[in-house]
Amino acid sequence: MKRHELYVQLISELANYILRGNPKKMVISLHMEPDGFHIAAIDDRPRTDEEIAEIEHSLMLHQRPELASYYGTMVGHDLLGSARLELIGFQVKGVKVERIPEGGVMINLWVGSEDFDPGLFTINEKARGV
Amino acid sequence: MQGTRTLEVFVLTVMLGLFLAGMLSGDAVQTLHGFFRLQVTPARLVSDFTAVAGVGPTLLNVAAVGCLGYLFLILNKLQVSGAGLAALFTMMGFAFFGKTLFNCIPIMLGVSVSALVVKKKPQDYALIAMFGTAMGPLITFIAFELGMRRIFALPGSFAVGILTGIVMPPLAIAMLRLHQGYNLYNIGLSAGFVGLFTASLSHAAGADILPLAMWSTAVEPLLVAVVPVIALLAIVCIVAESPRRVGQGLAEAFRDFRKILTMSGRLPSDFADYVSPKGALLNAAVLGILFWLGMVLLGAPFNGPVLGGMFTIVGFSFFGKHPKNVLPVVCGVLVAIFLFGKDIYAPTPLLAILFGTALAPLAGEFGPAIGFLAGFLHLVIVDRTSVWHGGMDLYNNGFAAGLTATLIVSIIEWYRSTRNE
Repeated sequence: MKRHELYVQLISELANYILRGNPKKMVISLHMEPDGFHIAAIDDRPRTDEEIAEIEHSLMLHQRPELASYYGTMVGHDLLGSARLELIGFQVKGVKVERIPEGGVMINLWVGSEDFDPGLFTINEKARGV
Repeated sequence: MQGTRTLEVFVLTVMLGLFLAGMLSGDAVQTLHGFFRLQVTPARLVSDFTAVAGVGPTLLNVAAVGCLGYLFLILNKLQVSGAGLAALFTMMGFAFFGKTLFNCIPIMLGVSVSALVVKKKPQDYALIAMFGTAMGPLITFIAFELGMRRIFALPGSFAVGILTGIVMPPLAIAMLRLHQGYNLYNIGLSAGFVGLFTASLSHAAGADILPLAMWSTAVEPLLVAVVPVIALLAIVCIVAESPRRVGQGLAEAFRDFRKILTMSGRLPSDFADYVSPKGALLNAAVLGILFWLGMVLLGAPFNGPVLGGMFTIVGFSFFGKHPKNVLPVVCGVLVAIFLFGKDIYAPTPLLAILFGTALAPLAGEFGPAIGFLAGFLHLVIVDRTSVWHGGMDLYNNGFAAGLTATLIVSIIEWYRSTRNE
């Protein structure tokens, strides 16, 4: 898959998820490196600890190549019905979800190829899910 | 990790049980002879293997095809997850009426070749390979039904199987986009597509492929007992996860089962991964028993295709189906059967009750009314689709469900995206 397609699809699914929470603000940033990229999404909707745990659980699904290469192709394409963070979860190398002072949450995703070098990004051990 | 191990023990025990039941149900030599006979038997819909070779050889074939699927997962270094269980039980279920070692292997190889062609690993397309064995009857058809000399028929059928496997991933991925994950048997739609072309080619060449009608009505106590034993085994697996606190283990499973009931089931909903293996096992036991009871109350024959339907339901209870999202669909199918005066004991309506549950995610996402409508429309179209592909696509209900889901999803999407807010 061309990289820019993956950017568009992941951002689209993430935006779909955030917008379904009816926020007043949403910011999405993208940091690209040769072997990976970092997407950060911020909104202003307050969430409970349980909701944050659910976001993390969906995104922290361990690497599932058999699902990612088949069902994962729906990411960012088919937006009818509820948003599916787990489609993103199949693809990512690291995740961090945290509250921000303004009241919303910041969702950080690190995605990379086999040669992904976490050293190029602000990714820690916890975010890598290890 | 322990939960995954439990799922592995569960499916391996099912396979071992089926193997032993097959071998011990009659003379072992006769059973093996029947098993080899199944490999060369026409496998198009509906070929009830229990009517062709008897119970023992059929159970042996089911265990063998299950082992093939399990080995494929292991070779691809994949865990036995909810998705894996759905694929394994689907393979086993259709080994009651169509899948054999002979007609599964070339397709699985072809899908793996397809992965290598696009520089992926075979494990990336492992699920497509396992579900893709739906096209098995095409291989058996070329090898044993076309009337070609064996020296050409056997390698020719193998080559066609590999080619079919190669085209399966692009089709499967494209078909997902049509129904957006609301048809659980997506490969059924893809295989129906391929079957449509192969049957049309055959028709153009002057040879019409007509569906078969081998359907046993004999009462076999061993076959009647299979699903309740699997449901019981699922409960034993839940208890075995925490043998010193049985009550707590069952309470946790029930809590997780209730959580599963809140999910839509849209692809990919791996209940074992998203919720817990315990909850998914309880869901499998509940759904298995519900449909078994339904078939008993209906007085349906417990033959190969009916058991295949129940195996598929048990498998997909780890990957999308639960009582709350399947019941509206089943009600829709039943109402359509009675409204149009269909014979409920005929193969198509009876199998639609079981396999029509592929549309469960529509009920889960958009409510029971849409689920009911989906079931109703499904019965109407599934009556015709098997003729289109000449019974080559074993997942005929998946083909019909894909068309039904695409219709409903298109209308809902159009309505939601164009109405003014």
